[in-house]
Amino acid sequence: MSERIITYAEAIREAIGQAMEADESVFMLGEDIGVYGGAFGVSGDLYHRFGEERVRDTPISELGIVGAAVGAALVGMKPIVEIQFSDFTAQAMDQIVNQAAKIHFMLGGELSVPMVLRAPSGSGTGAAAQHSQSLESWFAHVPGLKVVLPSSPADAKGLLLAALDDPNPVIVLEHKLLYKTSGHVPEEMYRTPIGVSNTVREGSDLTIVATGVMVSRSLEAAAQLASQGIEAAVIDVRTLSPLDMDPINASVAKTGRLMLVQEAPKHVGFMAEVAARVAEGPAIYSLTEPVTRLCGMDVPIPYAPQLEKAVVPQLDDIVEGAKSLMRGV
Amino acid sequence: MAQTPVVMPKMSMTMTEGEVVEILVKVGDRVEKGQVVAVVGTDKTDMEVESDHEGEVTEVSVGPGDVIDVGAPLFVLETVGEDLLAGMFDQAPEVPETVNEEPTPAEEAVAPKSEVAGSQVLAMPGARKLAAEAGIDLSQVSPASAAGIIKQSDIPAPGSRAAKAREHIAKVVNTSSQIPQFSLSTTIGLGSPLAEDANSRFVQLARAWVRTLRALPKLNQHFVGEEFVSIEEIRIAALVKSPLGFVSPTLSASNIDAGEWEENAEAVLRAARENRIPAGNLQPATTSITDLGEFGIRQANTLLFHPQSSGFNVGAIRAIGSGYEIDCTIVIDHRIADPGDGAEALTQFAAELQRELDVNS
Repeated sequence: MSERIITYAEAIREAIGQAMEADESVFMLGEDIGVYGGAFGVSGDLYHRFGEERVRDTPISELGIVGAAVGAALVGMKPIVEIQFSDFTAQAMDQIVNQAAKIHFMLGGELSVPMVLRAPSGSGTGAAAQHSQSLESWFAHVPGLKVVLPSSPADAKGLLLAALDDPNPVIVLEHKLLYKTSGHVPEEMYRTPIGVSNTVREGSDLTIVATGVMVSRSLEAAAQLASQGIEAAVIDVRTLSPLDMDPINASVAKTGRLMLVQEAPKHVGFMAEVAARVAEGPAIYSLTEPVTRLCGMDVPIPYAPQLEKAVVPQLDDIVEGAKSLMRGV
Repeated sequence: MAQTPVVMPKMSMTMTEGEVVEILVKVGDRVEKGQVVAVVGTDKTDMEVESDHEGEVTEVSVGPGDVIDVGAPLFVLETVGEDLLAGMFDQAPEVPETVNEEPTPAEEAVAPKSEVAGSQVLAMPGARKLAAEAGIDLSQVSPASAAGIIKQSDIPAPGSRAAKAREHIAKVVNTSSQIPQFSLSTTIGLGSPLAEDANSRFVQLARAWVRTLRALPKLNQHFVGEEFVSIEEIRIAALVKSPLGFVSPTLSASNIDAGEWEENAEAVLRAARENRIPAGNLQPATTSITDLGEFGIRQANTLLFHPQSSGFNVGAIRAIGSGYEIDCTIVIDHRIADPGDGAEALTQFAAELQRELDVNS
């Protein structure tokens, strides 16, 4: 396997390109994805390679974009929707929640919606409250939707190709801060399975569970902690729906301490689900400390850069949180 | 006025630390000299600690479950006696350090503890599960956590103290191989039964056996180093079953004929059955009495451990016709005596025991 290093955005583009080459029913639609190459440069040269029929610029109407994609999916196409900011999915919620997620169930399984919806998520780019949210728990709460949050270039490609194989709608929430990060990505068309959590670091002292950009932040924290004699395991949930608890439970059984890290606000956030699953299962008996959640504050993301940083967990917060958990109650 | 710590006593030569089982006083209590103020556990047994001073408790620095070094304070008394050393040392008086390193969380800890006192115990689910499995009452567990939450590590592993006690017994029993010993058994007929109560029965047997040893100076000696040394103070190890296993409190036979000896011996045996042996009853014994009658055992010969030179064993009493029979086995250090001497001892013992029974009937 080659050790080729590319960016997260390039990995996504490569996945889309390979899927479009392999399957004529795959096409892309969204705002500014054509000549402009996408708000975050993800579609890049795909318009020039595959033409305007397969890389379709749309009017500024998220409801229309997703509605068109659901319709195309119902007649056998495999649309890849790009929503410019995940915040704008609010405009398309009826199509996502009431149509895409429900049709397979309501039509007795006779039809399905093999749609992939990609959207940039998260804060850290100075884009303020309406362009910086982490809305994954909205989608994870809807039966019929699969939700994935790739945290590395390799997973960005692998999960997208797995999402395209899936006969039902998959929401792919990409993190804006990760687009320019690089990593090893194999050239072939490989799949990263949906529904499998990824243990990215083994550790015996505490278990950190993270999603999205918090995974790499937690890994950095774990490296710092290791230099101070604390061995933190880091588990990337990677796919929120369906949720794979096995590596989390296994790690908690080993460490007895669980710290959950998410960028999204704490209240009714995704990590509450992880905490609840641990509490429901045998892993609760392994806990030697109460579960710790390190989350975004329950406020809209501020525009001021200092405040924007202050309201979501940063590297130091994770390090301190872990040390505090090690000290115990 | 002086601040006087009451410390973890050294109960045996090998003891370096002890576990606090129970502190029987609280801040503000008046303590008399000689009062039992704490129960501590060593690797072998639980023992009561008596205060050497009288005064008022000003600080309790440990709680049940804490393991502290010998000499470390259990609590501090403000003693009323004259402090002859007052002012001679400018350093702070010997005030114990608190267990918690950071004073702030320790102070905060008071609130949640008192809030839940008597009604609810805070514990991690895993700790509850462990305690339930081990049959431990959580309200008796002292949490190490500053917030007063009981965790898995606060629950003693089932059998851990018993395992330690076993290790101790293994070490002691090993010394038996250093003593060449022989045993002799006989059946003794009695006109009247022994006491039904095991503690009273022990008193009857102990008196007869001690009188036997005193009557036969050859048996009442040690072989120590290269010398025969006469035993001045006979000390009897009694075998008693406690919740932690078999334990052997030691009783001095110095005033064995006195009525108060009987009272004291029975009190020590009762305490030992609860695994609480007074510190004064753990010295090495010179002889032992093992009565396994209550377990339906007919005959036993135990081993001798240094510095024991003899041991007496008895089994369950049997009614035979109009009288009774017991099987007795004595174990003797062969270096101090021969089987012929042992036979003489058994004859003497039979007579002494009958006399003891006659006196009390």
